[in-house]
Amino acid sequence: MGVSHVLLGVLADGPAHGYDLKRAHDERFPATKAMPYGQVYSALQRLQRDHLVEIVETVQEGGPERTVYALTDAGRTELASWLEATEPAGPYAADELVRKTVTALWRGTDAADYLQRQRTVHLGRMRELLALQASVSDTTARIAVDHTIFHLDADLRWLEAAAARVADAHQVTHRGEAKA
Amino acid sequence: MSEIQFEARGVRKAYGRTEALRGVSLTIGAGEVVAISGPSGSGKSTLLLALAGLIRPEAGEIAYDGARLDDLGEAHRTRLRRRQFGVVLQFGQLVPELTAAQNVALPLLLERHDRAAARRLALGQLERFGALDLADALPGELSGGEAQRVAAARALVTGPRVIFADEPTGALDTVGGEHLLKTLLGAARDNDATVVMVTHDNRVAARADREIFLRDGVIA
Amino acid sequence: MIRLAWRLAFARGWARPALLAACTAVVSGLLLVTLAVLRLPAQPEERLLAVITDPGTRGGYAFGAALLIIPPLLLLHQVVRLGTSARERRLAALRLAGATPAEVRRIGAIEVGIPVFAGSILGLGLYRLLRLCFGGTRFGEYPSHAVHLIPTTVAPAWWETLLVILGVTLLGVAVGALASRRVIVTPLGVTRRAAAPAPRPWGALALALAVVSGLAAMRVDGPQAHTLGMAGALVAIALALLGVMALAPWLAFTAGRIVARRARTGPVLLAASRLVAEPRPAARAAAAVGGIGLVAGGASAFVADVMAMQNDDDGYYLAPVALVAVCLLGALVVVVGSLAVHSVESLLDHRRSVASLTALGVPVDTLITAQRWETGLVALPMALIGTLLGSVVYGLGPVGGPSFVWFACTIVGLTLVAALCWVAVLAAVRVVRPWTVRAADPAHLRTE
Repeated sequence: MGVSHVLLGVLADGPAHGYDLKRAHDERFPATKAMPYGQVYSALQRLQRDHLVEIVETVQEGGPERTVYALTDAGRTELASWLEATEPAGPYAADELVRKTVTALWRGTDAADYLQRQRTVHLGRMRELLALQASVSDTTARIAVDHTIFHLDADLRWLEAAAARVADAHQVTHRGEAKA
Repeated sequence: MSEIQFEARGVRKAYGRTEALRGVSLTIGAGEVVAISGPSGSGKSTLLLALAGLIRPEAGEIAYDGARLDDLGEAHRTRLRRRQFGVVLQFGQLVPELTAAQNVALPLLLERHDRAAARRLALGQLERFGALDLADALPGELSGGEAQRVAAARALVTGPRVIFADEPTGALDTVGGEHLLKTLLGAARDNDATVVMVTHDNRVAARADREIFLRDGVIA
Repeated sequence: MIRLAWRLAFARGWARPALLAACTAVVSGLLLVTLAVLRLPAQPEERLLAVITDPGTRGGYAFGAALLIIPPLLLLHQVVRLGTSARERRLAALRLAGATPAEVRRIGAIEVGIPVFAGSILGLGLYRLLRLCFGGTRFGEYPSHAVHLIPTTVAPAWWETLLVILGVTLLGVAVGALASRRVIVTPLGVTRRAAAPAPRPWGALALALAVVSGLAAMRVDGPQAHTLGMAGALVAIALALLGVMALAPWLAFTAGRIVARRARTGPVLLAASRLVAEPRPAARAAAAVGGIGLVAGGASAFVADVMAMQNDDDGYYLAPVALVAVCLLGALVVVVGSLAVHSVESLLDHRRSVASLTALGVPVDTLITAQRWETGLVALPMALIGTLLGSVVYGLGPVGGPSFVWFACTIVGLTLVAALCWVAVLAAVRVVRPWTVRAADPAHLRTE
């Protein structure tokens, strides 16, 4: 359901229209990409179809027409049960980083150089996020940024472990050759 | 880039049979915040100690402000360190018999500052690190993180031009480490001080302007 | 700076400064006694023990008195090093905080100097007290006690006293400086350190030289005999001191290695491996014991001497025996003290490893047995070597050949010293039991 539950969470504080919802989402997740307006509306439509939200009023203040949405009882129940249920811990889908590294290692090319450059990129992104985190004042927003930072940290540590394992394997083969 | 403050060339150092540094060359500009990272045993701490003049490399040169640091006599280096450098290590840095406030004031007392003035400055630094209530505690009574904050306060008490920190957040959790680091880096920025820190924590490394990554005693 | 040093000197409690002061008090007191004896005219105007009255044996007596300063000096050396790792940590922390080597040296000197200076002044009082208890009696006066060991008609000159006080203070400070020299060089005293090289038996050479110069000192003849004899005796003392100090680590190391290879039980293996890993602390205690052995050996030869020349007009046959009893009792106290100091030091330095042993399930009794072995393994052989040496130097010197009495006295001396030493080991370990129990608390694993 993804972003829909976030919207339900925002609406739990009181009725809001689409634009407010988008702004609240972006504020809560400063480290992720801003949500496109279209996605907000398609999500709202789906929620309405499933009777989780309802239109309470349509206002028109000079500009375009604005529809105000509110949580239904069913929506409230859905939100509560979503918050109560735990998320599965993985498995994590292999992303491009993993695919590239593993392929490079299988190819037997010098992966160390690539790993080092990748580290620089990750560290640069982390630096940006830390600056972003320092600039937002909301605690929950900081927590959301932490999540991305910690994932970058995990990536970095994985890269480091990969480099160490490659070095270790080299040593073992060399020692094996020396013995033979 | 700002003017060069540290310049190292071909620095080597061994402990018995283990070679910690195997020819490291680098420059650090004044006011720069540099992180030294790398796997454990890669020579990070040794490089930091050599730059801070705490150990003498066996080969190579280290220049500070254009003058050789590594061939200065022990007393000269110590006085230079006392006046211009602040050092935070992982542990074993506080004098166990002195209170936290006395420990922080120690560099000032060695410089023959007035006792009352030294204590006032020390308390100010402790407050900055949120450790004012620890002022009269002995190091043995402090937790690892508290001792670290006291050590950081001492490193800043003389208003140093360079701050050296070896795993400054090692004994702290994420949030506590963040506070310490923020205070340390904030104070450094206020004084236009250079910061050289060793860390294996990527989040700490990312707070630096630049990372020096060591592997097996050389820069990767 | 002085305030800082003062604070550091007493920060760890009064035990260390008090022990330092006690050691130096004994040293300076004994030196004053020696000087007083040397000031006696050819015909003393007071009743004293025959060996003192007779100018021929007086030199030997003075030598013996000077020899007595060895155990307290060795104990001083040991006390200065007490809690070495804590001290190293403190000095290294001071260096890290920006103290220059010279400043740390100064702080260390003041730290040791204050109690040592106080001690050497107290030595003056000790000398007075000894004179009161064991002083000679003027002819014609009724003797108030049985043993007359210290002249009362003569006393050291004021400048001699001053020299003793200053000299002993300087000696104490020098020992202190020697003890902290490694830390002064590096501010990272505790982080990384290459293993110290295994000790070598160079001390045996110094001991051999001590025997030679001691024998020579006792046999000099001619007009300058007195001065030469005294100089030779001092050289012999210094060499014996150096030899005992230098030989002890090798002995500890070797004994540890041999025993570790054959150890069958946990405590023995633990004790022996500790000796191999760190022979020096145990060796310092053993050196003090060896010093006492040296004196005991000398004493047994001295008794042989006295017994040989005992004549009718010196009716107090009991005096020398009482003297020996007093000496042995004193020796027992010093040995127990020295071994206890060592055990406490070892506990302080290994708090973490002791605590982790208890955490592993090693009972405190096993730790105590290991302590007993660790101390006894070095102390016993060292005491025997010392005794033999003392007996040889003192006994073979003036007499000119091994007499039967000398031989018997030496055997008795060796047996007594061995028994005494074992009793001392048991007593010392018993004395430090509270420290052991406290050190075994796994709470020490938390910090440091």
